[in-house]
Amino acid sequence: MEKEFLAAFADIIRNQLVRKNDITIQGLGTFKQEHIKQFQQQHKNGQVVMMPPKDIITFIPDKEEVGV
Amino acid sequence: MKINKQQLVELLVKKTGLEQQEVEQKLSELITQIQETTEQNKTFSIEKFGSFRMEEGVLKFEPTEELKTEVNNKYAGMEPIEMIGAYKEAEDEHAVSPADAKDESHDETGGGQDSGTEEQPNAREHEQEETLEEEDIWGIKEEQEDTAEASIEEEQELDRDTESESEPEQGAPADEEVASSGMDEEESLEEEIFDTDLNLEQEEPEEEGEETDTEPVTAEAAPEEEVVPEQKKSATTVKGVGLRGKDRKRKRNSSTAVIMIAAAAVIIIAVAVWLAYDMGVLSGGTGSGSSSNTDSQVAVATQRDEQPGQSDQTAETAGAGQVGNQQESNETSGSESNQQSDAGQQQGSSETMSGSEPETENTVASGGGDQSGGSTYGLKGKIIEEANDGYTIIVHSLKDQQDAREIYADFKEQGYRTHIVSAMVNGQERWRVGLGQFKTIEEAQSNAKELPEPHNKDFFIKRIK
Repeated sequence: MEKEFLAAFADIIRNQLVRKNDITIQGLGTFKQEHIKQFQQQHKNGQVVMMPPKDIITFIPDKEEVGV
Repeated sequence: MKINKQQLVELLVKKTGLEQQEVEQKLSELITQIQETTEQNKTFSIEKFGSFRMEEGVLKFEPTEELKTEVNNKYAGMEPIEMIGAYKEAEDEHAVSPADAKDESHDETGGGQDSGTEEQPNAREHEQEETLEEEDIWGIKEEQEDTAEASIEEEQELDRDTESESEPEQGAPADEEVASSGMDEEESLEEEIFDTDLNLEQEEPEEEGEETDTEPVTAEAAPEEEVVPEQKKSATTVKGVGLRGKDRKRKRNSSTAVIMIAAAAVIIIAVAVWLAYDMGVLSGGTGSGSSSNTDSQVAVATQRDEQPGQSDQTAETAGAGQVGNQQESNETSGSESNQQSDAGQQQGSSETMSGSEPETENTVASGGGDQSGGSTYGLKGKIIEEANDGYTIIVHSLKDQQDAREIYADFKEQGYRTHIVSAMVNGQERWRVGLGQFKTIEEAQSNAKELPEPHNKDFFIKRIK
């Protein structure tokens, strides 16, 4: 039962993230989907590369609750 | 769109089918569980979602690769692109244009986002500005340092050139001249160094000589303007040495050139031979040979036309060594050939008896099983039943039997060994007109190429039976 609930929880957050929705859970934190534009990057050997754009998940913990 | 806890609960209720209260309870349980586990420095991972863990007193969430790619599906599989022509020396990393500096700072913040997600956006922006400024300062500094270094280096070079002169009051134009002469010297020196590789023993004394040349010059260097021509002289002498060295090089070059020419000649000859072979100088001979073969075949065929009775006989003798085989094939062949097979059997038995029929003598006379062996199969002449185990060139495949018959008659008039065969193609009856009888597919193909247009291109080869 616990596992089922976990799976459902994960599934919902996944779906919302893919739809670019932010999920704020009080007491835990916020899941966000963020877009990173393409950018130039230089390797240590002097090679310059253009990194592709990407969407990433960021998690911002709820500061009030955590660390108490 | 933002989703808060309440909306999440509603979604969970929909998803799990549980009561709202139950869901709320479970969710709060889950949250406390996550907090408790992470506070014990353990990781709390959820299958197909990610894992929570505590890092330096801050809760962190690391999504699974699955989730990462799912979220990033738009850009999944994109690789970093190498910027061609944007290669920079690693040392100059900070000495970049402001625009580049911006990019870099952005990149750094990007990296920060990757690892430390707890940064507030405002803080990030602020940091970016800071880094920007820093980058700028760095760039300017670096450039300045660069130029400073360069100027120092130049000075050093000048010092080297005018070592013992070292009079600071030297006029600027004189300086330039000295510098230019110094350049000449350097060039010739380089040449010399090249030469020393070739011939060390000879060069050493020359170098010494040169040194002794220049030393007095520098000693006399007090009058500035005299220095220049003298140094130039030394430069020219050195250049002379360089030229001598060049002569030596030329000799060497000439010897290598001879080898090169020889090698080139060999290659050219090889290519020429290969081309000749390819273009058909050699293959032309074989081609003519084959054509003559076919000529003889045709001749034999025409002979057979003249003596229709004989053709069967030649066929028999052609297979003289394979009488048994022929009999077998005759037995398997159709009812039409039964008569002939009988005759074949008779002949097989009567060969030694110098038979009752006069033709057998003829066949023995024309004999030479090898010659007639070529004529069993062929393009022209009459159909030889024994050759029906071979291949034929199908030039027409028609739906209408009447048309096929007409074409068949045409070809027969032209003296071809013509077949007409019906075949079922995709459930339809087709009447195929075939020319010639050939022992092998290769033979058939080579003969098909000599057929008149358009049959030499539009044909296929089929087993006769």
